Amino acid sequence: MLQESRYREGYREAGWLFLSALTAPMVLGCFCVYLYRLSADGSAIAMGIVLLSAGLLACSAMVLFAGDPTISMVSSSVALLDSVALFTILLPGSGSVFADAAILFAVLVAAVLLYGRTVDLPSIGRTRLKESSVLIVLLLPVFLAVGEALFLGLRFWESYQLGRPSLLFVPLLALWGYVEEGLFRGIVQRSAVPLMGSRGAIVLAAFLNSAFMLFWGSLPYAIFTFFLGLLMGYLYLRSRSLMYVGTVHALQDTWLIIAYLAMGIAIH
Amino acid sequence: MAAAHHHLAAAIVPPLGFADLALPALVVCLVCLLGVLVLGTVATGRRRRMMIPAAYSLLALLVTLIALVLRGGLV
Repeated sequence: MLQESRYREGYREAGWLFLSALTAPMVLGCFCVYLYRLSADGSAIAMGIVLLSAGLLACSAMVLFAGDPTISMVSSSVALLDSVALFTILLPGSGSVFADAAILFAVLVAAVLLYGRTVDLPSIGRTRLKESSVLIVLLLPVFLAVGEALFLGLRFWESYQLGRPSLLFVPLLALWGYVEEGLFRGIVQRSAVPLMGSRGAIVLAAFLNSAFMLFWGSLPYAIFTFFLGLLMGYLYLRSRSLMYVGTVHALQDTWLIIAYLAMGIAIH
Repeated sequence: MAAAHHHLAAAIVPPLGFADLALPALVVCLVCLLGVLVLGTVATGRRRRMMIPAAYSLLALLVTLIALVLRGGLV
């Protein structure tokens, strides 16, 4: 019995190393996209696509061949992230950024829902919300929005040519917060808990989340996302509610956009 | 007016804008999709189900790219 326990423990440690190797192509691929955003060098994006494709296939093979089902589960979530990253890279080109956003949003929502239905994610227990949770959901997004604005600089989004602001677009931005939390907290973090423990899973999900944000070509944005991911991961661990952390994230995005609109920063 | 109106979408979709060539994108997508499908064919039960979301994303990308090619948006 003790020997079997030690065997499983050793297997998990090896699995952790395997997982680090499997997430490396995803992170390096995102970093190549970051380099492309900085230099507009075509070879950087080609390398990024190769790395993400290799990571996707390696993770899929790991799902198939890993002896421990917990390793298979995390590998499948990283494979989904790789495929989403490839989708994001290869998608633009329809001529309408709005159409691209709608397509990406629809595909991501379907992928997150599909993952929840097809993969038996580990149980995290019943939702645990307290009275103070209401206070947190009302106040925390405001502080986070102010924190993001201060950390990134109030004029951060100006470099993205946001154009004439549309209040109609704010709800879609808010829904994006739910999707992001569903993908990184609901899938990556939750699937990694049996293998890496709660803390390790939070760090892994936050790290992959920040790597994905390198697509926007800003290291400060990725760093902010890492710390935001840690906070959201902790909130998810405590509340066990995806809707709860999704609401906090959505309200934070909404407050940020409304603040920018109010200050007229996005208007050219 | 309409184009500027929608530029806020750049906050969601990273403004990469290099996938104007359909062939490389289709090749990458097909290779990945075939790889996942082959592995999914070998796998059974729970492990096969774990590959469905990734395969779905790639299939959605393939369909989108084909739709854009047919629409004439890509060459």
